[in-house]
Amino acid sequence: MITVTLRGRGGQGIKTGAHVIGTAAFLSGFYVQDQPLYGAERRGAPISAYVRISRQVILDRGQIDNPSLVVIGEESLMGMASDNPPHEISESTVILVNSPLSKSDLASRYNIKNSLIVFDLVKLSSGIIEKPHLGIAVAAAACKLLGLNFDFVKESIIKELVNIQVNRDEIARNVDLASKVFDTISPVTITTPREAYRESGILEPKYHEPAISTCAITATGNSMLRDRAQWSNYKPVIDYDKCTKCMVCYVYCPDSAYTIDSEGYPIVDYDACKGCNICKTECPVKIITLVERNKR
Amino acid sequence: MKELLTGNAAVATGVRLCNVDYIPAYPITPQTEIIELLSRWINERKMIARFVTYDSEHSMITGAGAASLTGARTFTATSSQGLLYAFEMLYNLSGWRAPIVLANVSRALAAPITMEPDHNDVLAARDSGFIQIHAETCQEVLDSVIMAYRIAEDNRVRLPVIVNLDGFYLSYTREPVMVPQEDEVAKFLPQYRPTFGYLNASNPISMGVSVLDSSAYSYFKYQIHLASLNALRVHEEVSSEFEKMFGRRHGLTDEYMLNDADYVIVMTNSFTTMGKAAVAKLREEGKKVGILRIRMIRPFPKQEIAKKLEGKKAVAVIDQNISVGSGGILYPEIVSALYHIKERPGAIISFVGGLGGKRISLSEFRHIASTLEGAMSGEAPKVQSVLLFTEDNWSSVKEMLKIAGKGDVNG
Repeated sequence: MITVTLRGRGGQGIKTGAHVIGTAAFLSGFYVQDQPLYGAERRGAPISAYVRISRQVILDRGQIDNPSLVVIGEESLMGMASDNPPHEISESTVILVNSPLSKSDLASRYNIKNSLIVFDLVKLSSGIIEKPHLGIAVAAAACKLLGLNFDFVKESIIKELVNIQVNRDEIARNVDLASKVFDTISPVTITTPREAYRESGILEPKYHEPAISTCAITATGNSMLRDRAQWSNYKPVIDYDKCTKCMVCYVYCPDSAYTIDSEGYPIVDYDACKGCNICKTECPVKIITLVERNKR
Repeated sequence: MKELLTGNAAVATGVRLCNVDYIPAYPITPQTEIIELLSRWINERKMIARFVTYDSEHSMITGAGAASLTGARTFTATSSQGLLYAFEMLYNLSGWRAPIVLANVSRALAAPITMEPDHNDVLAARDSGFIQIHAETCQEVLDSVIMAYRIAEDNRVRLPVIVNLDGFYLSYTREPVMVPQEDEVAKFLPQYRPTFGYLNASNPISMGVSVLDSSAYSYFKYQIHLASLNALRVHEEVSSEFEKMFGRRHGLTDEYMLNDADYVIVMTNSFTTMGKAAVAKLREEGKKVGILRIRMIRPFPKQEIAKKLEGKKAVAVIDQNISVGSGGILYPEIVSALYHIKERPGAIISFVGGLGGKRISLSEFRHIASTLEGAMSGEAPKVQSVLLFTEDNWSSVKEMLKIAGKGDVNG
């Protein structure tokens, strides 16, 4: 069985990407299972999706532990504490990344020793499509690596994009882009990874007093396993020369990322800000701009 | 035609093929995709039905019952807290003998809140009079919806049916599903023409009446019980006919490597797929383990279960639910089904696993197999349900407790 994990951000079409890979493999005659993993996320937050491809009936479900191939929608997803790819892969896992950086730059920056395939979507899509569908592009690249025939990939893209009601012109452009991506990628060997089996004994939990065993959180700063700052590539920046200290941003922030300093100016805690854009929208004097976060 | 469908799309496709007339709806994760698809198809005229959004699951179920009693073939869907919010009306629908089909997409109950599945939601409704069919695959989900209307509308039954599928593990998971032809389904499931209890303006009747006489209450309630028991036989007929027409058989139970097994793991729903993989592995290691999956949970197929487990050395029941203060919900039902048979298994051990969607690892299946072997070689069988929870699970919980401000907690 070949397994694929896709990483992207909510809204980039990663779920559709998984469906494109799944349908292409299904049309090629394989048993297939695919699934997005939803949580309490929203647009911009990191999400995953999975595809299993096999010649036999698939006797597994849910999350994939040790994938044959990891597909990463954009480089900003690589440095995350919770979702760092090297934590859940083995040496045989192939990593496919969309990034303008070179293969050697990426490998040294993230200390990757695996087989690494890099393609630059911005460069490839120029002249074909203004707003490329990231999910489609990564799926086309993954399908090439999986050795699937482009006819099936094309049929799959059309089927899946019709299904989410994309118009004909956009579909045609995305197919053109997919074809270009498909031709750019050189195939490598994708293998069935060794089983991610870990023996772990059964443990009978003891009774703990309610202060422990009630599902309550008493600590502040408790989101360390989820890097909320990575929920968006943008952050709000305030023009303090024009700020009227009205505190509307402070009131509207859904994540309490704003505090007010001793002079009455709003301060953003960028570790808590999820880049939702609400402060910018609500600011009555329009002095908040969104700027790209520094690449980590 | 074979297609890749999610469990939710399989439900919606089944509903479309069954030519349903009325769909009262209220959204809840992980069910919402079902009603989204149905409303889209109705809008696109791919399906002719009335779709009505309600203000809660309680009124949604009430509306479903009322519509059903006007002779409309009715479908609705919910999950978890939604099913519980509709709870009192479930008993009314079975009392009215309203043959609706309800898809429940299992999701564990709050608190704490999760989106992932276990069966405390659907099993809370086990005494309500709804027939319950629990599916393992997306194919079975689609087929079960079609079979469910045949069973519900049969005059020997005339009860509402729940088709249960696991959230995430089926609801959002696409698998190859053979979609039956519309005309074949129409042959298998003719138009719904109720012969009684049919509300219409020219022939007024009173439904859901009060009975101040307790013997009348006993009579009507027991009739519901008898109707439910009839569903065992009706299911077998429907199942045979379904197989003849579509080539797939879905019985009251399903089995995997059961025939020559000494040790049997009893499971339900989609986690059985992982159970099968584990059993295949254990077989390679020389352990004669098999699986019995219970597909129909209400009525409870006691005789069939007894037949399948008679003569086995030992049985493990994995309940993906917990009756707080007792243990697994299905365990005592299995034990009671086996008590009077001649060659009773030497031990029947209760495991509670997969709570809140926690995957059951191969390690845990190994533990089950060795516990069964241990019970046969003189180790005292455990009376309390054993939680399937590993040292790895505990270390991750421990870490989270620390982050939540509980300090270092010892297991």
